[in-house]
Amino acid sequence: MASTSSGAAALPSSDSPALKFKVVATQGRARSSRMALPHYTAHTPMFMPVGTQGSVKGLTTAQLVELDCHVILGNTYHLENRPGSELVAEMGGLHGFINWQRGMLTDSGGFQMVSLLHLAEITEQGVTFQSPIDGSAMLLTPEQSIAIQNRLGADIIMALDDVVPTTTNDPARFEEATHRTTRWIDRCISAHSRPTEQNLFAIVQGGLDTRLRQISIQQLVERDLPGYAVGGLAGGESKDDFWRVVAQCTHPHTGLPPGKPRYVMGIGYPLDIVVCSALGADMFDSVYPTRTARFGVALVPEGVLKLKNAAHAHDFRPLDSSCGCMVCKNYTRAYLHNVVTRGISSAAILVTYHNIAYTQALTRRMRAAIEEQRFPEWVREYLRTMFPAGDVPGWVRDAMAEAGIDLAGVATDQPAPGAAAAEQKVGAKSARAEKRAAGRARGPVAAMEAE
Amino acid sequence: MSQTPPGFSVKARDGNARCGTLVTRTGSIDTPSVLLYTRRGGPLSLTSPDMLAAVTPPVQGVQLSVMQFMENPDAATLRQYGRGAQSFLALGPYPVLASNRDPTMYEFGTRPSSEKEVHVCIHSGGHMVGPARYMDTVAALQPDLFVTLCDEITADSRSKRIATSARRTAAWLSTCLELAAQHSQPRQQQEQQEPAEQQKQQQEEAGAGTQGAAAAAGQEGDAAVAGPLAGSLALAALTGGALPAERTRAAKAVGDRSDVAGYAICGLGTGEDPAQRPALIAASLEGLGLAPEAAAARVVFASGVVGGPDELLEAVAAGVDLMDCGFVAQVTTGGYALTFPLRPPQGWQPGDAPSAAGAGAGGADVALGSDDTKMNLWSTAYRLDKGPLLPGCGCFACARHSRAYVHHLLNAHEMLGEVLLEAHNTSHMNGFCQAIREAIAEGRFEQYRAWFRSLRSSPLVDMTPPGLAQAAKRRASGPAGEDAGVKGAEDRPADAEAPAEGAGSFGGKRPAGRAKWVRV
Repeated sequence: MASTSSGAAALPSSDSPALKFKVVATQGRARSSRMALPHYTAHTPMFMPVGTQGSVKGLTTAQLVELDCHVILGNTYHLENRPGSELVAEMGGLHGFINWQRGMLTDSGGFQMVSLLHLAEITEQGVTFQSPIDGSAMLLTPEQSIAIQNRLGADIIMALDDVVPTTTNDPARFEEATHRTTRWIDRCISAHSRPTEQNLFAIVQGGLDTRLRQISIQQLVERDLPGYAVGGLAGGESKDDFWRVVAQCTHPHTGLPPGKPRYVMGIGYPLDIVVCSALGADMFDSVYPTRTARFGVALVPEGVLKLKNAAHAHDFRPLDSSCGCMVCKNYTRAYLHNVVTRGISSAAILVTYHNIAYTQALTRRMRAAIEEQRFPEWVREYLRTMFPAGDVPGWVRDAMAEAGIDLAGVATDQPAPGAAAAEQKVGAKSARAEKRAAGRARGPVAAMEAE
Repeated sequence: MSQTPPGFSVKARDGNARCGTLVTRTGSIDTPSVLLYTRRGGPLSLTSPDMLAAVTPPVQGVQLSVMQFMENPDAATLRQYGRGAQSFLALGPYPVLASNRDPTMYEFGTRPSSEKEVHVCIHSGGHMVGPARYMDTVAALQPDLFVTLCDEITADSRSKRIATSARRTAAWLSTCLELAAQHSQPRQQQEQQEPAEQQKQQQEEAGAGTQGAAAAAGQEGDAAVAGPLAGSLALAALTGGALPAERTRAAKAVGDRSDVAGYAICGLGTGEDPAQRPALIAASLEGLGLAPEAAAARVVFASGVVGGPDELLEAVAAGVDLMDCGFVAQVTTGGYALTFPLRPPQGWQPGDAPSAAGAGAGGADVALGSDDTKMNLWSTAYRLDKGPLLPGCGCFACARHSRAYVHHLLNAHEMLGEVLLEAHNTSHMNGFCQAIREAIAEGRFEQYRAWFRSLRSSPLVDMTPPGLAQAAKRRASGPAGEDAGVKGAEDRPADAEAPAEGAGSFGGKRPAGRAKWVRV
């Protein structure tokens, strides 16, 4: 199964008014595709760096092009607060305002209402939140979210969904949110004023309940949108739950349509990107690579490199000897060790640059491996590097079995009891430390997180 | 590089100002020029080498502070690395000058210095630094130019302290040069170098000096490589506080030395009146008593003299060739873009009315936090401004981004705002130096200087009683434009005086020793 390749005629594709999606190669469930957006033809699987307020943390748009970024994100909530979507529209939309000629995606703003502001309340009408300016109650409705995103003018806009943290223990709330997300997508569709220039993606909800997820998939697919996202994940659920939801949504027969792009929101750990891609997802975003960089953590094939560690003080190797990025060509760990979190912006930008280079190289290699029909071998090599002792986490083994990728010879060691424990190796620990550092230990941090 | 031996030569002069070429072992610097400011070896926001390469006119050289390498990383780490600061810090092809201080801060004086050591406060705390430790670090940095250790004092020092400073600095100069000579000796290959280095350090700690170790290093192994300071140019530190007579005396104690490539005028920008600075520089240079041909072969570096474009111009007029430049870092941090014009209009003659394009920002408006040299991008006036930071500027930022975007980035506390401003401001200062070099080479420096001075508005802050000064500040906010109504009633006195001042921005003569414009 792993090496079966569909004939060219059978490769799925779709043609929406502002998006042409074409799978160019598949291997198992993984696929490599071309997504023609109004501003750029993106290659998937792809990682989209988050440029919350119209900039990806110190990187110039010229550097983002150099880094082979195809689509970057903007956060509706932040951009509406500062500088305001009307101003952005006047400045020629987000593309013109920040001078980025490639693809852009904006979120709905709903998640920030939940994650950033206390006293956010979700009603049928929309999300009620406290204004950051005067504390008064404000309402974000699906119609307003779409109107703002229409003004921002990104290639892909996201529907306002009813997000429930997966850690919530209230089945009724999930049931309500699933159906409300569907009701809201209809309001979003009718509010969308630029359907030939911008693509509205719906977001599958349903928590960890396979029945609800299936209802959500079915209801949203009926709406025939240009693309679909898997929402409500990366919010503190176990890795076991996480991959199963992704697998359900990307299932070849009962999941989201194979001819449309599938976007798993809030995914940024390299291992998660690999697993989701193996399961057939196409698009990912997260603040993780850029944020962790500012805390002095570099992404490397072996996992992560914590630059503040004293061991790097005399380490004159590049961050990643297999990386050809500008930073790895010029800098040593020893230099970055001393300055990375010491208030010298250029040092933080260097690590950010490398981390984006890493995620982009990772997805580029995956695309090439799928197109050259050697994806399972590539995955095995990737896991061998990250887990040289063979202690591949149980959830990765399970997910890869689902994806039809044989890990014989790679996952040798028995996984530690509690499969999720192994995820620490690839950064959960540092992610936790980051949350502490940012003083944001409350609530889920996940889909459409903003920097 | 290999053709021309490292050294300085004057190509043209106009008055005391001179235009020359400083050949270093890694490349040459056209003078006069400012050196890129770095902190702990890194530009503040521009990533090197890619963003430094985008600076136009190109970066001439990079300045770093030796003191910031006393720890994290220290000399031992750098020695172990082995390829010097230029490679460690990825400073591209630009020559590196290692100086004894950071022009944006004052590291000295928290505790008293002694006859043997100077006390510095850096990122890792206080350190006592003597000539041996200093030169050890310099050698580890392998710069193209270095300033010898100076007993830094502030401008308000009294003559007794100044005399002490001069005595110590002169004594340390000899020690530093001896040590530099030792660090220039060929050494064996790097693999074998480390034990000797350790041995040397131990000896230093034991107060035994470095002679023995250096000799030992020379004997061991036959595959000798050039020492880290071979071909590196020494600049002798000149001190003397804010008293011209003391500066002359301190310089006399140094005098003409064939073993230095030039001089570093230290202790400036430490509280003295900028108007007094040319006299202090002149006093230092005069005290050296150099014969004309010797003077033409010695480069003059000054630290802390660039507090603005006209301070740079005055330093050049006084004979300075190289300057460090905290100014760009400071204006960038404040959210400013430099906008002053770089070249006089065609056919400008002294006595002409200053061109209306005095401030590239389209008229300085103090109400917006701008003046006639820079504009404040924090101002909400630029919210919807699609124009580049400075119309006509070809820098990285101006070619790609709008004022509105930079304003938004500052407002949103995004690092990219400072990246773009630093790119523009660095380019603008380099463009200014290029224009000055052209003016000197073409023998019209005095005219250029007169033109640049004519751009200066009447003093925005007068040293007259506070009430009047306040009025003057408002008065200088340019022609009453559309925001006159916004300013409203509080501006009553200014409005009343505005007609008397005419256009307000230009025309008045600046009394010597007075503040020239408001620093916000």
